[in-house]
Amino acid sequence: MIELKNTTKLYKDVIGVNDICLNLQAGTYGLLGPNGSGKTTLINLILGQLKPTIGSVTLFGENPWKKSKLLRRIGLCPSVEINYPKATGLEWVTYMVQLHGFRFMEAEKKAKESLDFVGLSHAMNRPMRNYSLGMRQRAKIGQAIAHDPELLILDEPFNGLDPIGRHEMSVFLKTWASQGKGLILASHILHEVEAINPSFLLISGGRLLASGSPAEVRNILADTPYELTMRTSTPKQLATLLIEHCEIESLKFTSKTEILLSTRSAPQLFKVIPEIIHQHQISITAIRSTDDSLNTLFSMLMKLHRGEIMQGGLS
Amino acid sequence: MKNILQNAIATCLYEIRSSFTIQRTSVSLVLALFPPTMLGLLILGARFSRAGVSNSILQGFTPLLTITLTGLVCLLSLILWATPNVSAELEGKSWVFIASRPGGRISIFLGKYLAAISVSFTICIIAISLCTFLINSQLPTGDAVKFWISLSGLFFLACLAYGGIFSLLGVLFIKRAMTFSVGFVIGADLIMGSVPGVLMNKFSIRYHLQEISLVWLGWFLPSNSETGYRAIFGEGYSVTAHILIIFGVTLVTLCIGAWAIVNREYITAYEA
Repeated sequence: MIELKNTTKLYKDVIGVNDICLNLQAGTYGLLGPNGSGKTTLINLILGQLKPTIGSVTLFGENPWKKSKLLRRIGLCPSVEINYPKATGLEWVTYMVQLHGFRFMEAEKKAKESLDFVGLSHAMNRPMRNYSLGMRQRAKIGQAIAHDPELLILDEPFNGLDPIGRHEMSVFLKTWASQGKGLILASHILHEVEAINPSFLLISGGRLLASGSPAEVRNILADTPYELTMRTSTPKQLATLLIEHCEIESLKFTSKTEILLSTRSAPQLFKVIPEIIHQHQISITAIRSTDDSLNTLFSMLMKLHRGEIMQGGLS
Repeated sequence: MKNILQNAIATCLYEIRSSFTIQRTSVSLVLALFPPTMLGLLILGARFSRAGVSNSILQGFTPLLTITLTGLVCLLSLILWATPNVSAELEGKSWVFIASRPGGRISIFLGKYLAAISVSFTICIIAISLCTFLINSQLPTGDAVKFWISLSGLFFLACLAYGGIFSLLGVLFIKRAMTFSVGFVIGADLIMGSVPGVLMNKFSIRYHLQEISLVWLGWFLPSNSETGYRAIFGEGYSVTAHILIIFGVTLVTLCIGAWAIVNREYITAYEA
C-alpha cells in the first residue's frame, strides 16, 4: 500500500524526516511520536504534498507527487483546525466531496450520509463557526470518509475531544478498522492509539525508531526505566527499604521530604510499596510519575538509536 | 479537463457563497458606489461653479473620469479577490483539505480566479450603470446604451487579463502577493504602458484596453490631442488583434499559474 525507500525530507537546513524505509501493507497503523517528531511531514510525503529531498515514496504502486488522482482513494483528517466563517457543515463537506470529482447532487447525498454516520446530521445546517471543538472534529472526519476511501489517515484525531468524544472516536476507528480498510492514526498519546490495536510505527526526530505489534512495543516498554517521585516524612527510611525489596536503578533525594527513583521493574515496585507502608508504618503522602510512558519510551529508543544503550529484540 | 472545470465552478460558487459576509459585502458596495459618487459630486460642483464650466468640457471629461475611476475600482477589487488565492487558504488552514483532493490545487486556482472576475465584473457593471445614468445628459442621444455596452465589454476584458495576472502573482508570491500586484499595476503596466515607444508599451495590458476603448467609444479625448497621442503610442492594431492578445495573455498567465500551483510545495507546518 505504502512504500518509502530511504526517504529524507529537508526544509532548507531543518530535517523533517530522516532516511525512512517503510513498507506498509493494508491494515491499521498507529504512527506515534512526540510533537514535532515528523509525523505530519511523513503524512504529507505519503499524500504527495511534499516531494522527498532524497529517496522515493510510492502509494498504491505509484508516485503520489506526480499522480494526484491517487488522492481519490484516500481520506485525510488533518490535525489543523478549520476556519470557515460562514459555511455550514453540510456545505463544507459537500464542497469537499465535489473536489473528489462528484457532481453536486451526488456530493450532497454522500455528505449527508457521512455527517449522519459521524453523528452530526442534527447540526449539519448550522454555520461551522458555531460548532464545538468536538463537532468540528466530527465534520473533519465526515469530509474524510464521505467519498468512501480505501485508506483513512487521521492526524491527532483525539485533540480537543472530551472523554465521551474520545470514546466515540475510538469506537468509530475500531469499526473502520474492522471493515478491513486501511487506517493510519498519527498521535502522540500511546494509550489512545493502543485502544485501536494497530501495528505501531514509532517516529522521533524525523527517524523511524521502531515498528511492530502492540506486544512488541509492550516488551520495549517493559524494559524502559520508569521514574517516580515519592513524598514522605521519612525519606531515608523509605529509600533504604525500597533498595532492600526492589531493583532500583537510581535514587535521589530531591528535597527533605521527596525522593526521585528510577526502576526497570515498575510492577515489582508497585507490589512492594503497600507492603512497606503496612509493615513499617511509613506514611507516603504522594506518588507521582515524572513523565508518561511514551516519552520515556522515545527517550530510550533515541538512546538505543545513538548506540548509548544496548537492547535486543527490536524490529 | 471536465472534472477540473466542474471543480473550479464548485470552488467559485462556494467561495462567493461563503464570502457574503457583512465586511466583504460592504467593501464591494463601497467600491461599486465610489465612481458614481465622485462623478456626481463633480457634476454638481461644475453646475454650481461660479467660474461656469461649459457642457463641452463636461462632455469630454466625464467619460474619461468614468473609465479612470471604474478602472481603479476594478483593479482594487481584483487585487482583493484574486491575489490571496493561496495565502488565504494557508492562513485559514484549509489548504491541506483542498490540496489532498485530486485536482484540488488547480480547482482552487481557477475557482478563485472565476470568483474574483465574477465579483469584480459585477462591481464594474454597477459602477458603469450608475455613471452612465449620471452622465446621460452629457452624452448625445442614443449614445448612453453604446457607452454602457462598450465599457462593459472593456471591463470584462480587463477583469479577464488582470485577474489572471494577479492570480498568478498570488501563486508565485504568497506572502507579498498584494504588494507585487500593486507594484505590477504601477510599475509594469502603468509606467511601461505610458512610455513613448512603439514596442515597449505594447507589452502592457493597459495599452491594448486603451486602443480597444478608442475604437469602441470613438475619440472621446480632446479633439486636438489625437496627433500627439499617436506620436506617443503609435498606430494600434485591429480590435480583434487587441482582443486576441488579451485572451492570449489571460490564457498564458492561467496556464503558468496552474502549472506553478501543482508543482510547488506549500509548507503548512514545520514538523522538525
